[in-house]
Amino acid sequence: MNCQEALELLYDYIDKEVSDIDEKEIKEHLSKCKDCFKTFKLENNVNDFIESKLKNDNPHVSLGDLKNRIMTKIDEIDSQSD
Amino acid sequence: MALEKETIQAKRKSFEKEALPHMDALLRTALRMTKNDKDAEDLVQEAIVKAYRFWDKFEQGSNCRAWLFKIMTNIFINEYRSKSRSPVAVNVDEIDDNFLMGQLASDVNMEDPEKQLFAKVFDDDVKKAIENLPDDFRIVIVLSFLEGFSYQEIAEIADLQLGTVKSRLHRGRKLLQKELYDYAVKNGYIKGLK
Repeated sequence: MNCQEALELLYDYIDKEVSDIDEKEIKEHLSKCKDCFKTFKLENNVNDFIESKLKNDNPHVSLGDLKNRIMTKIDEIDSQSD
Repeated sequence: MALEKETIQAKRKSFEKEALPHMDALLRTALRMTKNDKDAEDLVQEAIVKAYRFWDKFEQGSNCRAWLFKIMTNIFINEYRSKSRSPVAVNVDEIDDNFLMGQLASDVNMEDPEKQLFAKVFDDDVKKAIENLPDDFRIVIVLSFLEGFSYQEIAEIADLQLGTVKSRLHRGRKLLQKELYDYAVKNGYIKGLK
């Protein structure tokens, strides 16, 4: 695998959407190519960073209140089907 | 035609067991999609009530979480998106594929530049950068980053071709990177280039 082929699969690789064969070839290429290794590492770090920031942001909305309202709606549907 | 009481009870029981546990995930994604608490709550409520009405259409044993997200995403696209302000036109193609890499690499004298960049960007900045993405990009980014759906699952949820999912994720990432980078330069966290 050359640089261009590896870079084309960059995000597929980060998102774990590549085949086993491609994954092996990418890893092999990265072990030999410093530039691609740097790019993959940077993109992977950016990815993890955004993901963790997104996941750590908890909603202020009260799930309990919302759940109560939804259950009331569902009760209404059930009573209409009686 | 009236349903038997036991049928209703059974339906209710399976819905509560299979579908309701996904409510918190639906809410956190709804908040990212609508960008406002009130709309997010309404969207989740609408999606769950609709899912309950169509519960007999859900194939037991298949992926309930993806099924619920499909219902919610569909409602968002059809009803909420048009309500929100039209997004600022962004020419994503203008952003160089290696934008961030090029910028950070050319910032000389920096050891591990991305670490320094990340250390200074706040949670709110990332949130803002995501909110600034046009809807089409934000939907796939949130489904991928926040919910961890596969490309194929996102294609089904958002009713898109697989290739479209991939290109939107790719370009969405570039837009996010550019926003975060611009932010860091503006605030003097990193030097940046002319």
